[in-house]
Amino acid sequence: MIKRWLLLFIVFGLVVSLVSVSSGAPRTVLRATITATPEALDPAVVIGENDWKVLVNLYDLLVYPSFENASPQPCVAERWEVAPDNKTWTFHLRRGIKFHDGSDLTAEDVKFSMDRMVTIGEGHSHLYRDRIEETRVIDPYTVVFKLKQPFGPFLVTLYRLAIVNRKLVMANLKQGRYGEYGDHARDYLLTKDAGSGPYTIDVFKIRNVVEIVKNPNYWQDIPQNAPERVVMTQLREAATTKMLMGSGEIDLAHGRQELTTLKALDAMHGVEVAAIPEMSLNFFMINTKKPPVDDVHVRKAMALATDYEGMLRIYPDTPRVYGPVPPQIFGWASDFRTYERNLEEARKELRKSKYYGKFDKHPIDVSYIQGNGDTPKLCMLLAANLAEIGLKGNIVEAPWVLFQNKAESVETSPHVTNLFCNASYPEAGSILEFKYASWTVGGWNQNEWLQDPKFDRNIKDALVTVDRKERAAKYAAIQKYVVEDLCPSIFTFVSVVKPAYRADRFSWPAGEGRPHAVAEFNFNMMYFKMLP
Amino acid sequence: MQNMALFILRRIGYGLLVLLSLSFVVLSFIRLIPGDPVRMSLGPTASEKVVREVRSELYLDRPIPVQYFYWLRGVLRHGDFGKSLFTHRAVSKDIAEFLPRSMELAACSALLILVFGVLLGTLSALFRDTWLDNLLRFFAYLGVVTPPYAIAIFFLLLFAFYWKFFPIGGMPAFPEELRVTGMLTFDALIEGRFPLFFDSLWHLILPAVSLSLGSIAYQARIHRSSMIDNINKDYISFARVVGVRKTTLTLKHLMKPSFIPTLTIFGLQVAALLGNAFLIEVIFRYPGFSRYSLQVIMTKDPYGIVAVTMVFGIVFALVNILLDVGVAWLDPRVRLQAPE
Repeated sequence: MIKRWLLLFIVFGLVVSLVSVSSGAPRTVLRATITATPEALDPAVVIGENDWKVLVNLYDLLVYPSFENASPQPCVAERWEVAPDNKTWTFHLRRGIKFHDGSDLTAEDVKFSMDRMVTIGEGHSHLYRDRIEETRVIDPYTVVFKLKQPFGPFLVTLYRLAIVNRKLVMANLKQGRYGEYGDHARDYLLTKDAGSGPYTIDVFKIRNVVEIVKNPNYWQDIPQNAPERVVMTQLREAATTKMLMGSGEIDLAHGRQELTTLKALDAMHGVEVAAIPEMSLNFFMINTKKPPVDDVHVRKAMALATDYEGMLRIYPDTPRVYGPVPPQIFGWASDFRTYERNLEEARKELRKSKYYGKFDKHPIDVSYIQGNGDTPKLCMLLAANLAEIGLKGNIVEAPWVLFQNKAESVETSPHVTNLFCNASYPEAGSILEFKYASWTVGGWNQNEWLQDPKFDRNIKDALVTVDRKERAAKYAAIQKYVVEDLCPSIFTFVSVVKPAYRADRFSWPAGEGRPHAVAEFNFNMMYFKMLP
Repeated sequence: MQNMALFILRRIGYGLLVLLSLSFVVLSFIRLIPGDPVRMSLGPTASEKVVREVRSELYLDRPIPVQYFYWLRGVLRHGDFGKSLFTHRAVSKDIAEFLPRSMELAACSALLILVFGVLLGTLSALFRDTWLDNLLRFFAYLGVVTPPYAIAIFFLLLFAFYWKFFPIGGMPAFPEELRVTGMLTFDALIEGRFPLFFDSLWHLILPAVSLSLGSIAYQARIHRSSMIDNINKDYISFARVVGVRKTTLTLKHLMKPSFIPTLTIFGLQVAALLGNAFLIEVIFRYPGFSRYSLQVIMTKDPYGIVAVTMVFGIVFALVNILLDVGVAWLDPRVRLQAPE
């Protein structure tokens, strides 16, 4: 009897071993982890980093951001021109581009994609919905966008307009809230793609795994050694990540590991860590309407008391910033007064405050979001810095849900909140508007409640300026005004994602020290090279 | 027999009533917690018009009783538990995808708990106060006090990373054409796909063992105590005196009554497995329901949370009914005086 069981166990073991061996991945497969799978594969709906990491592989864009400085390069659009009124943009499309189902990509699809984006009103639609007057098809390969008023960064916002296959979308409509368009195929595009990009979706299990495969009919040449298949698994657990990387079962770990995990991964043989600066900054957002931080002198004193070097020790290898714009994007400026740690100066600023002598009655809540990396340490350091100049900082932890709720009103928004905020497109105007314009208050992005008429006027003026040089000058003036006069935030460092990868398995531009200025575009797999 | 059927029907009725109340209370609580789940889901850049439309579509702009009425109507008419703001699809689809995977893990763990819990408890009781009993008790204590996630990481390191006996988490891909119950191991087996069955089982062993080890230890402790209680009873001494064989004595006269507390505790542990599996699912990259449950709670997804609560409620209710039936079957005193 025992012998029979033993025999059965040995057979079982052998079968499993054979199965494991037979399912071994060839070198053409790249295995990666992501913090979360995309919420959907619908470019009109999604907005997050993980979403776009996948979408850049599935869809084509009219213009593609260059590696060097994210300037617009021809992609689906071969060329374009803007009319003298600065409101009419004409795009001439490349012929012969096929969607994944084999149909032709035409101007009708571009118009449909823009109309669909604006109708749905989610995702990155805020870039277009109040700006596009109409989209016209001139002929199958010419499309015109007529804007309501000039919009300088219009070209670069098109990095967020992925072109969907109109016929495929229309063939998959279900009942929904968009009238004759039913659900606009949202249900279909939740897990399937309607794109023409270098990869197509093969498997998508929400909150589990995404698998994409190379598009053999792509209109551009995809290098032969680009991965045939990419498997992206949702995994945040540090111990499992280390084991999988150590045993060679993953090639690329997501870039949001904690410092200790990253060090352990970096120490592994064959593993290297890339550094990809994002269009995102770490801010201490100060509520400018709440005592005592409604007084600009108190805010300046806080900025002067902050131990920036200490912050950079908590987030090592991240570039320090002095203003609200990440340095790698267009419109960044630095010709303004910066805040360096100087306790004497900080105390001088405090003495100018109307609250001077009454600070014990006004404790300052320094809030961080639960589970947001090492940001609690940043807040503890800031609270300690505040104590050095006689301000009382209370550390407050808030779950994301609660923080979002508090951010809806000026009264409940904390005195100070630490958070990362990012630009939607690679231009200063994006992050300046998102962070400080009066029409963006009430969201998690603007704990500052700035509501400054001069800022509003200036940012509107900059955004309607089409001439790049002139626009850059206006952005610079706004940054100077924000930092020197308003001081609504303490600017610390650029967010840098640090994916660990097996340098003995593949190479990629970010690993070679050439990260793309728009972080998600680093994960366009056609630029990866699998090594033999 | 008729009494028993009535007893079961009555328990099912109570169960349904509890579930209805539970769903109403949970839906009300979610509405009372601060924070707009729609705005959270769509982000700060979505237009107010869209946010209003989605709120209206989900009945979040209606009074709580009205919202509850529409939700309940959807459940009863179409089995529609509402739409998840977290996965952007019907909650019923989420349940169909994630729940079977956790059920599979829980079933595997339950089997281990029952077999090894009883086996170790019996050995411990039969060899009471010997070195074997002491050793088993030591491991039982160790199992009870060690959290499952620590066991999981330790097992992964030892058996998967260093010795490579098992895979480092994950599960084989689920071929869509194979989906019958949604439990990969089971579906592969009934469809005769044996390599996939073995592969899936191989992936399941470490998470199931990690999840069940603490419960095995606890179960062994309970079963040992129960058996020792019964060993000292008069009817066992009598059976020994009249020469009943040791195997018969143990299996027939000692084991069956000792099972009553064991089964009660086992039932509660099985029901709790689904909830306790969260960290195990995270560590082993196991796409299960516990991980989903936590994520919908963190994102304040109203219908996701209600559905999760209902599933846990149903599991607990079912387990309780089965327990009552099981105990009644084991103990004639309970069976005979069941419902009046």
